[in-house]
Amino acid sequence: MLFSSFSFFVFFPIVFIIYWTLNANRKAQNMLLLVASYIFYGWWDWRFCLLLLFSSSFGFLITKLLSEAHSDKKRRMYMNLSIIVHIGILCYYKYFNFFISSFTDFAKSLGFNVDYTPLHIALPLAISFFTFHILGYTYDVYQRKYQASNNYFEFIAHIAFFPQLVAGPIERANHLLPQFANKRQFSWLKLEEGFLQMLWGFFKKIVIADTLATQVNYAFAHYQDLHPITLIIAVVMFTFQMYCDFSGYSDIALGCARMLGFELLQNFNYPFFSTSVSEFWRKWHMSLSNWIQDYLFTPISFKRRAWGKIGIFYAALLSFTISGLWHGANWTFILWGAIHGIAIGYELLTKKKRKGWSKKYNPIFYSLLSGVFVFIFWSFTQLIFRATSIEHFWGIIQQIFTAEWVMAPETNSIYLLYIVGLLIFEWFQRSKPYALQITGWPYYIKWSLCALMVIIIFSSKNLNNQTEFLYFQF
Amino acid sequence: MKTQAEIIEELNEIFTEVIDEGEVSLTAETTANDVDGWDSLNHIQIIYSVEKKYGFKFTLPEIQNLNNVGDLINLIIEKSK
Repeated sequence: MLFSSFSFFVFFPIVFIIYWTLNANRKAQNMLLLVASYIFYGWWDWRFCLLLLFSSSFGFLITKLLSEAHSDKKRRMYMNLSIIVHIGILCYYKYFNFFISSFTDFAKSLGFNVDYTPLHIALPLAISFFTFHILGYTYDVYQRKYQASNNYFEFIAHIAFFPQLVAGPIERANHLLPQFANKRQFSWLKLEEGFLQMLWGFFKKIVIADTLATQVNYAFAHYQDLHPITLIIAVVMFTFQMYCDFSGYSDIALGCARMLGFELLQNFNYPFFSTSVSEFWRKWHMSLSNWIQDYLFTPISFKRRAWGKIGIFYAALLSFTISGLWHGANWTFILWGAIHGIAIGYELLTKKKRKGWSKKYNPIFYSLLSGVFVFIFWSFTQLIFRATSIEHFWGIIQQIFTAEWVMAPETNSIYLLYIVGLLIFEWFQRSKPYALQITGWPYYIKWSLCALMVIIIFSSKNLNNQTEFLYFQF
Repeated sequence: MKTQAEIIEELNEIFTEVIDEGEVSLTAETTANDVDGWDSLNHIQIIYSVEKKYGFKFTLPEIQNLNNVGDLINLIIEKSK
C-alpha cells in the first residue's frame, strides 16, 4: 500500500482509531499492528508476506539459539548460518540475474558462446530493508551487546511495523523493540507533531518530487537531443527530486509512527548544508550510514588495523561499494558506491590537512566553497545513480561536454524556484528535527499554513498520476 | 605488574603520537569528547598501538564497550594477567 494512495488514507484512520481504543491493552495493540502491517505489505502481493514471516521468524529463532549457545564455536556457526540464509535470500531475489548476466557478458567478451535467458523473479519490496534490520540485530546479539528477544509476537511485529517496513528508516532492535514492550502514551502534542511531519512529507513527495520528476524523466530519456545547460539543470533537479522523495517518505514514516506513540530513528538532517562528503552522509539516509559504520566500516577497519591508513581507505571503499550494491543490481550503483568510498577515504586521511586549510583561509569562505564543491560532487554521483546503465551515464556526460553550450535551457526553469524555496525554508528551520516543526507558531498562522498545504497537495495533478517512492526499488 | 599511573604515562605517549595534535594528558575519567582529534578512526589506531606495546589483542566488542580511559586501563591490566 502506497503512503500517498487512497487506500492508505482509508487504512490509516481505521488503524489509528482501533489502536487508541485498545489503549488499555498493549498486547491487543501489538497484535493489531502486526495484522495491519501484514495487510499493508500484502496489499502489493500477498506472497511477500510469507517471505517476511519466514525471514523474521528465522531471525528470532537464530538469535534465541545464539544467546543460549555456550561455546564460541557454536555462536559463530549460528552467526554464519544467519548471514548465509539472509544474504542468500537477498541475492536470489535481487542479484541472481545480475550475477549470471554479468558472468555471461564476461564469458562472451572472451569469445565463449553462452546463452542465457533471465529468470522471472519478482523482487519483493522492502527485502533489503528488513534483511539489514534483522542481520544487524543478530550481529548485536552475537557480539553480546543485547539479550535476544523472548517475545515472538513483539519481535515479528517490530520487524513488520508498517511505517518503517518498506523503505526504512532501518531500525535497530534496541531502539524499536522496547517500544513494543512498553505502554504507549497518547498525547495531543505528539499527535500534532506526527501530523505536521506527515504533512511535510506528503508535500515534499507529491508537490515537489513528483513535479521535478516529470522534467527529470524527460531529460534522462531524451538526453541526445538536449543541450548541456538543460541536462545540468535536470541533474540538479534529480538531486532534489531524490531528496524530497526519500526524505518525504521518511517524514511520513516518522510522523505516522509518532501518531501511534512510537519514535523512529531520524533519517535526514538537512544534508544540503554540509561542508564535507562525510558530513553529508551523516545527514543523508542516516539509518543506512550508521548501519554501514557499525556493521561494515568499523569491523573491517578494526580487522585491518595493522594496515594503518591503507586499512582505513580499504574499509571505506569496501563498505561503500557494498552499500552501492545494496541499492540495486546494477553497475551504476557499484560505481556510485565506490566513488563515495574513495571520497570518504580521502576525507578521513586528509582531515588534519583540511582543518589547517580552513584556519589558513577565512573559515566562512572555506565552508561556503566546500559546501558548493560537496553539492557538485553529490549531484554528479546522483547522475550515476539515476542513469539506467553505465552507457547511459557516459552518454549524458559526453553530451554535456561536447554539445553546444550557449543555449537557453529547455526545461521549465520555474521549477528551480521550488528548490530555492525549499532550501530557504530549511535553512531557517535547520535546528528543528523536521522543517515543518511549527508547533510553537501562533495558532491561526500555523493552521492556515497547514490548510494551504493540504489544498495544494489535493489540487496537485500529481495526486492522480501516482509514482512510487524511489527507494521502493531497493 | 604495571600500576595505573605507569599505564597512564604510557598511554599519554601513544595518544600524543597517534593523534598528532599536541601533547595529550589523560586521567582515568577522560573520554573521547575531552580530547581534540580522538575520533573513531584514531581510536582504532590507538588500540592497535596499545596492542603492539603490550603484546596482546583486543576483540571488537571489548573496545566498543570502553567508556573512558579508566576502562581501557582496567582492560589492559585484565589482559596482561
